[in-house]
Amino acid sequence: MPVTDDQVATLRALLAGHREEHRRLLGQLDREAANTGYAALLAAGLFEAVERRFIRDGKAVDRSEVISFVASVRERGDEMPDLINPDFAERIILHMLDQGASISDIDPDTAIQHQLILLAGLIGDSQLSESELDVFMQKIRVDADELIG
Amino acid sequence: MDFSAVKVKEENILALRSFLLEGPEAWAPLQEEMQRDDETAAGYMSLLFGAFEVAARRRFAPTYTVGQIVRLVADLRMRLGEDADLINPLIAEDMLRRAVDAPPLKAGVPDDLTATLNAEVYILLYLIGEADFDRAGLEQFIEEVTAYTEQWLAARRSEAAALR
Repeated sequence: MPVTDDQVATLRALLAGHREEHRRLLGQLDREAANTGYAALLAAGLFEAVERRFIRDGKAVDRSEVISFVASVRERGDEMPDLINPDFAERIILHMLDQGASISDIDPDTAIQHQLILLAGLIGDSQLSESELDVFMQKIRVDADELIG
Repeated sequence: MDFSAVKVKEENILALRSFLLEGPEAWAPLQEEMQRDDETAAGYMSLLFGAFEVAARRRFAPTYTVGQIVRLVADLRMRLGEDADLINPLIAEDMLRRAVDAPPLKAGVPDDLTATLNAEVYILLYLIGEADFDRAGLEQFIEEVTAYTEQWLAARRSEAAALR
């Protein structure tokens, strides 16, 4: 089943910084469909955002930039260091960059929580306009549909 | 390790001074001596612990945010480059939080003695490098560390006596 409009609207609300709307839409999503569609959309979104931020001239940047980015997300509030495990977060990004990191020991719920926060952080830093965010959402929807295959 | 019978000796203070000036290599000749018995090792380890606590308190006093602790550990790991994994960030942040009496991390902090010692040593040397002491400043720091460690050991002795 391909990604639905509701799933796209839900993730877009998060990335646009509309937390309340995101929470409301998330509560309305069909749970079973979200397990594949929303999860694929999230994975495609993080993959795209990680590539935009950490691939330069076709190469992955130095690991220190990943360490610094994860720290920057965890610095954003007193509760953030508890929400994001830096080891998990760095490995999720390095895994997407094909830098040899394994994520097999991270349970799916924890992985999704980390992916959401990291994606929101990356998109927040890139300060996309409304239209740029729409283009981003279109792109990752296509990628996610391919993932679901 | 039982610290209740430990006293800070002159040789421990000399070793700390060498460590702060030259880094962990200065302790290599002490390895054999530290393995003599637990009490000897505890003399050195307690002073190292005291130095970590005093350096951390100085760095983050009088006010701090947990974000600053996160950033310090990240900066240290970035500086270590390929050796970044020597420092477990949760263990390192937890130790700094304890040193400055910040609320502990709610996330599970791994129980790993080697990683704890690595964090203690590397953070201490990072903070000493940052402080850039002159000769008088270093001596003042060592005096403060010695007094702090003696107080800490006295508290351990009181705890041990209360249990008897």
